[in-house]
Amino acid sequence: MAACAPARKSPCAGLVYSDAGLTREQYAPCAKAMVVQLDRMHESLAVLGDAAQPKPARVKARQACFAATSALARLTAEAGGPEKLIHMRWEDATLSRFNYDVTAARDVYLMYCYYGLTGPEVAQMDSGHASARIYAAALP
Amino acid sequence: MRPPCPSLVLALLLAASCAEPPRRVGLQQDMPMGPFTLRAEEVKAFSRAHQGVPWQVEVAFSLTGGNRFDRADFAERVSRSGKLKFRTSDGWRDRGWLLRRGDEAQVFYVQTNPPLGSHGYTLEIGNPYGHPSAYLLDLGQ
Repeated sequence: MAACAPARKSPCAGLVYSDAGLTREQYAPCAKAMVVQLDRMHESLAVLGDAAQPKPARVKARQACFAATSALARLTAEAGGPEKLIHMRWEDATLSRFNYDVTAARDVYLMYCYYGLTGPEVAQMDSGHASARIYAAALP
Repeated sequence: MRPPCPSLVLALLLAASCAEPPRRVGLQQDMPMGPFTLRAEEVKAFSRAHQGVPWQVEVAFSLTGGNRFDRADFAERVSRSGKLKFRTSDGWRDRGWLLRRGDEAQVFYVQTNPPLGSHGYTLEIGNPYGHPSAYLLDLGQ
């Protein structure tokens, strides 16, 4: 039964902040999970932004984009919320930059997702997403 | 209309009679809340008429305890709970927010815009840790 299934532990839950913020080792699983959601949004937008795709496929892609946005918002909230992630400086500037890039990319993708825009720019990878992927790949 | 359930009325009456009144404090007095201590350092009232704001009251707070992320969390918790209530003596009231100034999360401000000429300012601050359930900060003026 679903009610008896063990709850899946989120990679962003239970992070303990010090005055310096989080370390790369602490943050790596969460950061990687955030990038996975950005990847999902980007994949959905490739379909949603293509006017030649059949309408049901575009509708499904839009729903997938919203689902990924919600999942990313949930991860952000579990990691401490935007106040701690974006509005406070961490000692590791790379992680602060990563947080900024993820949020910026999410906002851009969410706008495309929300308005259901079409065009080649919708399918393009956002620069924040691209650099977040690079940062996440370099994490331990 | 159906009469209210007697046990519910009794429970409400009991809750109202047992509720702890807010503890009165003034400026420069500590307000311990769990591992944190909030303290109103200064209050300023001024006009921002040139920006279309007739009157502004600004209360500066210091916050100690925990690390800077804990303090930011605490301030957000107090603000989001909706238990930060600013009042004037003639009944005007507004919800307040602890606005962080600086990355160290040691200085916070509450800014409100009561009517021009108002006076007798108080700020009720709910304590997320209970005991006392709230502080009633007398800002004077």
